Amino acid sequence: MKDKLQKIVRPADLIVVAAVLAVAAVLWAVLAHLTGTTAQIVCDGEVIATIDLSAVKEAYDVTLDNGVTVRVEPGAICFAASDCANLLCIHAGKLTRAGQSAACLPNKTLIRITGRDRRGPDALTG
Amino acid sequence: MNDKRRRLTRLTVTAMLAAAALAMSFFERLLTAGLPLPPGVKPGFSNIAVLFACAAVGLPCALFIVVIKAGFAFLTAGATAGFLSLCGGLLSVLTMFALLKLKRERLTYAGISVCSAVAHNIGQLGAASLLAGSALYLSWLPVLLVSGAVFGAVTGVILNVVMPALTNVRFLR
Amino acid sequence: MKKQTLRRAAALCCAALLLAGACSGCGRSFTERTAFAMGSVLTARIYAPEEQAEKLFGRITDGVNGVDRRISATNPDSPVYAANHTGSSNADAYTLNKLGDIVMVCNILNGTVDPTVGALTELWGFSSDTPRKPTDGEIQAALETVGLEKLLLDDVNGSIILSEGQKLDPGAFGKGIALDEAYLALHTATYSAVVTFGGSVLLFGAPKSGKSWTVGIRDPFKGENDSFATLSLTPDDDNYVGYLSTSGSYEKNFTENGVTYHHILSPETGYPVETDLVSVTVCAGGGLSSDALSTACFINGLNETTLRWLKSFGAEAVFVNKDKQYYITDGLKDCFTLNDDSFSPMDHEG
Repeated sequence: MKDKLQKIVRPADLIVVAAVLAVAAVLWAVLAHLTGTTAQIVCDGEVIATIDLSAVKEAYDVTLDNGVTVRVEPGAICFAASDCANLLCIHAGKLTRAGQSAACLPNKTLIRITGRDRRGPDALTG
Repeated sequence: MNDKRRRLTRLTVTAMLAAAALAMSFFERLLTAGLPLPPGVKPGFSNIAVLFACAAVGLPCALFIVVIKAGFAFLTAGATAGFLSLCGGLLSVLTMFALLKLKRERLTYAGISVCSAVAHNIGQLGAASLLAGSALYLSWLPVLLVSGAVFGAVTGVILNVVMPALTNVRFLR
Repeated sequence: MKKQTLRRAAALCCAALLLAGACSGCGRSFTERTAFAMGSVLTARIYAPEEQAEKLFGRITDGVNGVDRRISATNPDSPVYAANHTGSSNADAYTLNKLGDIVMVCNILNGTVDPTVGALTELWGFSSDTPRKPTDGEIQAALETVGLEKLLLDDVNGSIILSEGQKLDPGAFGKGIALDEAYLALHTATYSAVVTFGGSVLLFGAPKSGKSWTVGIRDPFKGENDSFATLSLTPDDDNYVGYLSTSGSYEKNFTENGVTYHHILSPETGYPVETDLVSVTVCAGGGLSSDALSTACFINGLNETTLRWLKSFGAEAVFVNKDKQYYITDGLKDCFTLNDDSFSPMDHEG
């Protein structure tokens, strides 16, 4: 019975899985502590726009030369339209926290939220 | 078993495995079609074929399957998908090959599969970063590491269970 | 074999610890969505899985848009808009109920806030791109039309009837009413949420990280993301609901001929109320009441009447004056944490 188990799973296997999960957890915890309000639109490696999302009062669209439209809203940024085949970029939805990113790879366009904020209150009145 | 026959067998088996890998990819897509999974999270059943190829037939065979898979992705989902598949697959196979050579006695296919799945995801993330021309998809890493570990373990265990039944293993090498 | 087991156990323990550490940050996992409504930004943080949060957010925006369609003076579909343009209009039961609620609250507050100030606010144009100081004559004329007793809400025939020249402006109450609707959308589910709408806040349910909701009070002297103090509100149970509204003279003001006019008009004088206060933040059990109270308290100032109003609604408040002094009502004293030492407590004894 033990022999059979040895063939399916061995201690070293479990250590590998544990190690991968541990790394994932550390990365996740680090990322979870970053909350940000600065967004970037990156085209072909170049940052073509840096936007402070917390200063955005009205939603607006940024239309790029390559057929991609990015929507900037107070506190969020997302892909609104694209001429790419799979529209994965649009399905990525809205980005609202630091470390989040979405890309339209065929159009070589990436949007992401950078920056770091102290952990703020649940809400701000006024 | 003479050389000619062996090479023919190897060729046939490679073709079969490549077809099997594609079939598993297709089956996998049917399974996950409706589910809201983040990009890159896949059960990776076709890796069973790749890992088997690497272990039982040889590195060239495994590499061939990776190229076929990437070609399939290119034909169905476009150049970007093909490129990502190729990068992920290559890194995955190289990891498999290295681990099979080095740690054969300690690790079963489960552990190797986990490592290769993680390598596959990292390869894809790296390729995507390269294409977008920008830095890291940091936020996706934790998810992909976990899914790589989980699904890699599943496919690896499947191979562990199935391998003894494929008795011609030694015969093919 | 023992060594191997030990090492395996150690690795798993490390992983478990790290996961646990990561999960402690888990409590804060919410889905945040933003929408544009009634000329302001509505943000909801819903502590639910994304799918359910999306559904709830949809219901919230439906509710808010419904309020906009009924009582907004700027929405061409609303009976209020129609009444303002023609003197009267048909209105459905919902609209009349909401307007009736507004009138009732305003009566309790002795007409210090009043939805019939439409002619006056239109004159000043604070909501437009070109606010201006009207002449005394214009103000007097507009003041003639202001008065709750001149408004007729006919439940029987389902109509709003304004008196000559009278106009409705529910602007001081709109966000609060919208948040009341948001509450209706939320309380059918079990998820906690924080909804912010144009400066008003709705807290629903129990907070996920820790025991209290933390709400920052905007610093009247700095930018819109700066707070000078924080309120910690601790719910007794999962059904907790709390509303916060702030009225301040630091928003929507304009300067003409060297004089700065803020947007909180006194329904008696027709002019921006002259006061030492720069902001009043009210915490109450209803959206409409918190909105109405914050404006009324600002206009009436910090005095016995104001404090009595707050008590009668079971509400609490924080008053801030231009000398960076603050006054907190008793119920909030233990919840208040100052973040900025340049502020000091007022000497006032309520």
